[in-house]
Amino acid sequence: MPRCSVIVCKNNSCIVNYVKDGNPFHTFPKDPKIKEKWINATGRDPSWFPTKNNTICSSHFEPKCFQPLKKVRRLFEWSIPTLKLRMVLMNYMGPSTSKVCFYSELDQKDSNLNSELLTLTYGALVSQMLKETENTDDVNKQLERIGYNMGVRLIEDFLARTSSNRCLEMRETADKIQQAFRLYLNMQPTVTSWSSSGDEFSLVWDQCPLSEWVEMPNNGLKYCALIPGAIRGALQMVQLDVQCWFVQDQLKGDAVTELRVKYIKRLEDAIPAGED
Amino acid sequence: MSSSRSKSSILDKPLSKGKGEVSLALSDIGHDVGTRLLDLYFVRERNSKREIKLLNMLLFVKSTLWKVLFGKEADKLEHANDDERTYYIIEKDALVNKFISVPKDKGSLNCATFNAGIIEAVLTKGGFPAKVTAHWHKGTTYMVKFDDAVIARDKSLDDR
Repeated sequence: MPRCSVIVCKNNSCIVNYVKDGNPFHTFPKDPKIKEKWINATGRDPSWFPTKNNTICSSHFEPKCFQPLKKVRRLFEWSIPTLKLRMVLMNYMGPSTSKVCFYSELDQKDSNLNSELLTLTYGALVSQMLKETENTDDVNKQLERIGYNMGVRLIEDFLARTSSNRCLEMRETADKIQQAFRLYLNMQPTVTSWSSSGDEFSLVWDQCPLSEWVEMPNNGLKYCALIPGAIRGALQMVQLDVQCWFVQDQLKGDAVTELRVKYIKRLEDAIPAGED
Repeated sequence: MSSSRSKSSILDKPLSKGKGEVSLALSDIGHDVGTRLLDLYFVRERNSKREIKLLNMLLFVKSTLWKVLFGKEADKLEHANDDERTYYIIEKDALVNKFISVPKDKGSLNCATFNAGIIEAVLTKGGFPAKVTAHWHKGTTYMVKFDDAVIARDKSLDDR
């Protein structure tokens, strides 16, 4: 009788419906690195080692781990169990399901937005703007402005989350920007091509959630203009005036996307007109 | 140049003309998104099999779709007492209404119109033509009104 090896999981072949779920139990992988992760996920004693009969059930894998279009459930080789690995409360959920309620770190962050929704929404927004405005330059400017407005608000959140201090030079700022990319867009740009005076650098990335699945019209549209806008807005809030522009763009056929950031001046705090 | 720009820019234009156009634009954008999501998630979550039953389709929207999009299911799915064509999907805190302060002069603008657009596209393109509107009621309520033909077809499926 197959039984799930995850220690808090009560799924065995008596509970799980084979016909409905396809093959719900997966044997441990061969790759030693991935196997180790599976063993960690079971929550068992480190000395425990799976035999060829030990399995983990499907409820611990995210939907993306399953190979699509297969009648029998089959995992991709890289799959690692991430869901429902710890027990929080005992809870009778009805006779047919497992009697334990689970949660995982991933389930907890339920405010995390699906990146595909972001991609599609941004695409729809841009195409809507193109429809309403004839002039591509206007769209670029609008996108930059939207980004700017986002940046102005985002910096507050960034400072609160990372509790970072004031940057003393551009290199620190570049690190912070890199961190922000990781935090908000889950992407990893590299910081390169410093100018000799240290006031200009490039952010280079080859994958961006905003620009997936995009077909570009051939009219000078800067699809990702949101990003330089956000950087400009955020840095303006910490008294840094910068200029941001695209040098290369994947969407226009370049190998990578390169965003150039140039320091212009430090902004001084000024009292708004009309307020003493 | 600058005056013509501000006139034609999308952000200024609809707002200056009133909330009707903003809602329309939002629902259009939602439509775009919903259309693309439909196939993506049926392939990924449902083994490429579309739903043919009305209730299952609504449950797909309420549970599966909402779960992958927003990380949580919509709170409730209700059937109107007085009209069999009307269903309500209710969500307490809609993500798109977070951090939003509606301008005073546009009191009835609801950003959830965007979600309503998504639902409408998913249902309509999935073969259940419907009109979906968003309302402020118990949080955010999406009112789904199906075409008569959809209800009739669903009944005939039941009879078989």
